[in-house]
Amino acid sequence: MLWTKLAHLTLFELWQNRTFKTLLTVALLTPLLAVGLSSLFLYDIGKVYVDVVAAMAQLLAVVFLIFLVVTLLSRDIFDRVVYVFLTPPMSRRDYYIGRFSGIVAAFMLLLLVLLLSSSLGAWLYLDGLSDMYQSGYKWNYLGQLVFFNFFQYISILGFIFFVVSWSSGNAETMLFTLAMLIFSWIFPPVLAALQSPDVMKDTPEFVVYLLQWIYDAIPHLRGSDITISIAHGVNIDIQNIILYVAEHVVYGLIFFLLGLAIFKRRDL
Amino acid sequence: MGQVKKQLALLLSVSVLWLVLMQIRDGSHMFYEQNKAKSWATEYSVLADKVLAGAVPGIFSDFLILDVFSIYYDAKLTGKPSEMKYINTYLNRAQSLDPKFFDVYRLASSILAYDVNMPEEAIELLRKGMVQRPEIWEFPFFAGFLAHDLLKDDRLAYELMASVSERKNTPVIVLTLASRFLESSSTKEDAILFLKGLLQLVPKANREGIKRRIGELKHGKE
Repeated sequence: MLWTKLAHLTLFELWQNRTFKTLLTVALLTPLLAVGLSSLFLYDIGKVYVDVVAAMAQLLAVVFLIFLVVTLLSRDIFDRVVYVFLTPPMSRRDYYIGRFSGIVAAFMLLLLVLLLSSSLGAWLYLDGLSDMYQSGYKWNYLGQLVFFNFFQYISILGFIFFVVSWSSGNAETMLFTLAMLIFSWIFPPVLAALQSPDVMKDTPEFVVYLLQWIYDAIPHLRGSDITISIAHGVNIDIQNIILYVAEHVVYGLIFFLLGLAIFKRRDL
Repeated sequence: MGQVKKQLALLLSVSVLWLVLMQIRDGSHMFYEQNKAKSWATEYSVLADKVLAGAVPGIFSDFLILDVFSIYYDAKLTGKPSEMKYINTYLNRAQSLDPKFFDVYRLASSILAYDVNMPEEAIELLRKGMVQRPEIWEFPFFAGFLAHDLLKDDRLAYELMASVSERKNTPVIVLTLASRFLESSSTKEDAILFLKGLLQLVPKANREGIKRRIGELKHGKE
């Protein structure tokens, strides 16, 4: 169980990091931004409040993954800090699992701070408004929103661990992570447009297969659809929640295990 | 002592530079305002909007609604009502990113219909709202009223208002008004009553078009 100690150390390391503290501060200040922006609107004030929290959750997650996780793992491997950890009895597997668990804990802490601050903001601001301005807001919706965002980025985290296991430098890891994020965002609407009947009749069959294959290979960051439903007070049924969580956990696990297999054999 | 003098000199220098920076910004701001290119557009691509909005379409649609307010005030302040035509585009863009956004449909039934004078486009947007929010009675009612009041198309008004009674939580007064419109027995007072109700749903700053229509009805203009 050496990985648990490294998980603690990772959480402590990130806690000491100034960027992480900045992200925590941004998470604390998010309700002020949400109140400021939503007060400019007519009726869907609750909806705009949730939109701002959702956008900030995405922003915090992306900054956390690119500037903290990629930097931390790159420093370990490319600046050879990993030598400090990889001395008997700690194995490469312990290191990999420990780092992953610590990063997940720090990510949960960040989202928890966002959830608490935005819930407090909603309690102080939205609860005082009449129903027609709240857009069906309920206290548990922000919890659902943060929950869905968390699992969405577990996929990306698994992918980062996979990239780090074979990449040759910090810039390469960052490039692949950014490319995956951008691709996951822009590909689904482009694919939907390409699959419209008008376009499909002129598209060669192999292109259709290729597009479908790419779509299957990327993580489906469908959090935006869910966020819009939550922002309008539409409940997500339990079956969809379970499938959503399972999809991202399995996707993250596949890339995590592939990364671990490569990392065990790589020259350090 | 020498150290204190150096720190004061540094503070003074930074203060003076800050003032210089403010002056430069003022100058460049005026220059920018004079040479500002028109930023509103009528052409748009739903796909491009969705790709750009990525994982946060909700907040993108919020910003597009803020653009609608900017266009409205720009047109009022500069005295160029033709600028208002862009409102239709921005409402449609916001609707495509967040089809359940209530404010889009409220603005369609008020500003777009009465200030921009685009009742057909307003009804089209409200029709989309009827599909996306089947539980809301306001959309078919507003659309039917616009068809009756501005397009003078009672057949269309009948088609649109017929679904009002099927929707939950429809107030009795609305059903009464709707039935009068459907029977073509409505009076100008009914229309004024409805428009006064609509006024309460629109911010004070955006009520001009509806007030004008109430005035027209009071003075006997159809």
